[in-house]
Amino acid sequence: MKHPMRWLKLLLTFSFLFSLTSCFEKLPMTTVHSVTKWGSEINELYLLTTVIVTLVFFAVAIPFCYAIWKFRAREGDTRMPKQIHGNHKLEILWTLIPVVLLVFIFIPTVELILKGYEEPPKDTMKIEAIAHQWWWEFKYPDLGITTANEMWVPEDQHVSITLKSADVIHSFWIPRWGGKVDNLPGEEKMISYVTPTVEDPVGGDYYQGHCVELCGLSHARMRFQAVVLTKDRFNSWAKTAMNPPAVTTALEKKGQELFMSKTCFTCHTIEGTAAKGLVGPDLTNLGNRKMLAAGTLPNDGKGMHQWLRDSVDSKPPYQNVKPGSLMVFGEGFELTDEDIKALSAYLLNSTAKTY
Amino acid sequence: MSSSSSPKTGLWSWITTVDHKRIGIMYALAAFFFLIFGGVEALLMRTQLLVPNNEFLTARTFNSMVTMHGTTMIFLFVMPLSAAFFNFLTPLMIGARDVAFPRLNSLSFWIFFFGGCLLNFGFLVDQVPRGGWFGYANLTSIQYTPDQSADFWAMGLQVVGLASLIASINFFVTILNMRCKGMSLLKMPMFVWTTLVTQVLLMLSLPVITIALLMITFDRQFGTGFFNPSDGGSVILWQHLFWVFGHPEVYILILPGMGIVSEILTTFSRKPLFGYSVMVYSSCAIGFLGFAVWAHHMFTTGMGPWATTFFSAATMLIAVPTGVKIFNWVSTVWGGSIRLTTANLFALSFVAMFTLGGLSGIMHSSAPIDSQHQDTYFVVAHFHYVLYGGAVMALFGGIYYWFPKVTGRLMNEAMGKFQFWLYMIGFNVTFFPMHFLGVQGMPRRNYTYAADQGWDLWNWVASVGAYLTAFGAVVFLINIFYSLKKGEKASGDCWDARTLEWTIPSPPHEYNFGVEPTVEHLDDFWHRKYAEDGTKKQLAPEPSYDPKAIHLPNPSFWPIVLAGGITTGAAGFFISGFGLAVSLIGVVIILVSTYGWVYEEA
Repeated sequence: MKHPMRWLKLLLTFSFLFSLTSCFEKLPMTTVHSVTKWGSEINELYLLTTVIVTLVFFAVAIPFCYAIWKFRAREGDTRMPKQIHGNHKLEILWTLIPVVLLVFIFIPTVELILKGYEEPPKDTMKIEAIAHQWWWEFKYPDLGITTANEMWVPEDQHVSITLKSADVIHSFWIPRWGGKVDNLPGEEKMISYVTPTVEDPVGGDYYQGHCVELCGLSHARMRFQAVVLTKDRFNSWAKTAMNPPAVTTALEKKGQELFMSKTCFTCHTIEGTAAKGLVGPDLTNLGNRKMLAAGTLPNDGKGMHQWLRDSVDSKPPYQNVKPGSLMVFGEGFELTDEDIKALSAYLLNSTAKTY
Repeated sequence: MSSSSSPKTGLWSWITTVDHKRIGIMYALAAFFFLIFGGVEALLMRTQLLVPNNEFLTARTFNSMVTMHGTTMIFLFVMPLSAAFFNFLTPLMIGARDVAFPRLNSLSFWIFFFGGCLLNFGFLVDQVPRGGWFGYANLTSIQYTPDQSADFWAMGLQVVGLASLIASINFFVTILNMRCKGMSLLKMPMFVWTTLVTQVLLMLSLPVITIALLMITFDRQFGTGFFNPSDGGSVILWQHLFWVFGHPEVYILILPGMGIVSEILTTFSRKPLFGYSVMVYSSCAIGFLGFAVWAHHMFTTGMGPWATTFFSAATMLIAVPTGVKIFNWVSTVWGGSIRLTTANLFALSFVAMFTLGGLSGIMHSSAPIDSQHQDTYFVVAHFHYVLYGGAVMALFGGIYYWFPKVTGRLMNEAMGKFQFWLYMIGFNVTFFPMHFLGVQGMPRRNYTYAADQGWDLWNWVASVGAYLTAFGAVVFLINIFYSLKKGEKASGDCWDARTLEWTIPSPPHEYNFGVEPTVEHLDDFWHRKYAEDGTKKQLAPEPSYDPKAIHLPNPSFWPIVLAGGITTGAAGFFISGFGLAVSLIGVVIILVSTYGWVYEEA
């Protein structure tokens, strides 16, 4: 009997340690490695609560398991245990203990709740995050910038993000910044942060965001990136954000023609061109972005090919990449592989600046 | 007047029965029928999430599975299975011959059953509801759900809700008015108490969802704009209405389980419930506080600091009476003579699993923590620990415990224990890793996930756990059929139990008690069997009676006709073209059957 028990113990210890490390792994959407002050404060409260409830669990589970083992009836056991109906002192005690423990959780909870609703300071940067089925539009009212699916911010800056919805309820969440607030149609809500300091000044820091309210078919494909840059680089991004790159090569020119003739322009805007559509994401300087289709595909030739091919070939709502998406081509607007190459060349423009 | 001596068999006798025991059995059968749907939906989802970017299910199907799994498990499995226990046990435990309104009882069963079918009707026409079990506006509006899936959902729930409302009034009246001589409120078995509190919760919360579903039906059918922002409506209004119902609903699901566990633990520990009166008060407190915590489902809607603080505080407060219950169960077991039967294993595991679920509940009662956990798998783990590890484990325990009373045969213990361990291990392997997935930020209700997120491992583990549980369900099914045919014959008091239903033969006579019992103590049956010091007493001989002289209500077919009329009326709402005509036919059936009902000799 000794050996199996030892193995069991080993297995339990191993799985316990493994789960712990897995929980605290630095994954793209981990909730416990916050990079903002606000997020770290939530993390601290979370850890405090975890410790308290874990202790309570063992305080209940150990006596409970002991009792089951100790007082188990054996074969032919006919004893009648003492009929105890209760014990007032004990019952009062275990009414009071939870109350005391809860106070320890409640006080920091209230502090954080109040902090979350504080008015933003005057020098805050205003951003509007407008959720659509199933992508994100970001507007910088003071800078006159509109972009999509990637929210660019300077480091160590207070930002107040006004949350709106163009259709149904969505929810704005950057797990590593901490906290989420819903995008409600017909109402405006706000979430604010002091942005984290840049860890990678060359590439910029990308933090993944996700819609976290069931919002229809492609809810799972509604991600976004929060991009943190140094102040200088953010300023140069802001200056050129609304200037589209020059169309130089022949392939790019063909792509631009296709963009205007294959109905793309009716839904999308590209600054400086006749494309002024407001249904889909703004595609000005699309080449800057890391991901396509709201964080679904990598923004490169291959991703673009998969995205466009699927949009042309499959009938909504049965697309493979983003089921139900409005990214569709009308009858008679099929694209050949050559067309897709030209469109990618135009959209991922070779002269697009990367920051 | 029906004679109690003639045995009644055949389909017609079941359709027209007003016997609470038979209705209870039908509730259980229907619940397990719908469990097949809910279970398969869960397995399909777990299979889709087995690996990242899986293409096993389409997004549309997955969203339907999410919606129907939640709706089915809550409204068509746990609630009716609890109702099965209410039906079968309440009159027996309070020493009554039937419920207060036997035909009304039959009516609620048939309305529930037809409503459940209506809710699942979308499967036949490829329009399965897919807006989530909470049906948040305005995703369910005609603009964003142009097909009729949301109508099936709204009208199906409306009909099912009506059934629960009728039943709740019936049981409320039964418990308050039909207790046998000597059974004061504080001598009622714990299960009857939790049943009573559940009925009060149902009576107070169901009207809210009824109104909300009517409003959404009006929005969809007649162009009103209660929940449509472009018409000046509010999407948040739906959330408040839904959760004012939806949170008490959680206690509606768990309270019967708490009662069942209290009965099982006392019997198999051979001890009375520790702190009975405190258990009663804490059940009432949970019921009361259950109405003051609904907005903790809405912390992320930005309700403002004080509303958020209030609902955080109220939610934490509910942990106090719940904690008291857990400590009292542990103390009930402590010092007992614990028989580890299958029923008791389920009950003991309820205490452990429910504690875990309750503790993770405390974690997101704190609004800032919740703002990280809301709509992630952490919440999925939490409420499955409460409702599955809690309510469902208790209900299974209840089935093993009362099966001999219902059928006269014991369930097979070996298969029972095998099923228990499959459930216990399968359940924990499925849902414990979901805590990790939640901490790793995996959002709920996503039909797929990208490979670059690091969620593969725990999703895989969770899916394997789900298959284990499914295997356990098959073992349970085999056990039921085996035990019905070959199970060991059970005596009236096969567990040496403490409450009134064990004083009568298994299965009970149609009239329950030959002579209506009189009660002097809490756990009266124990006091009849044992002296205060635990020595065995001679049971008093049963007084003789004439079974033919016992009056029982007549069977009636009007309840099923009336239920059919109500369902037809509701179905008219989603039949295009001649829907109005269908609804009118329903109304005519309702009128005719009500007339027939009123003039029938009961």
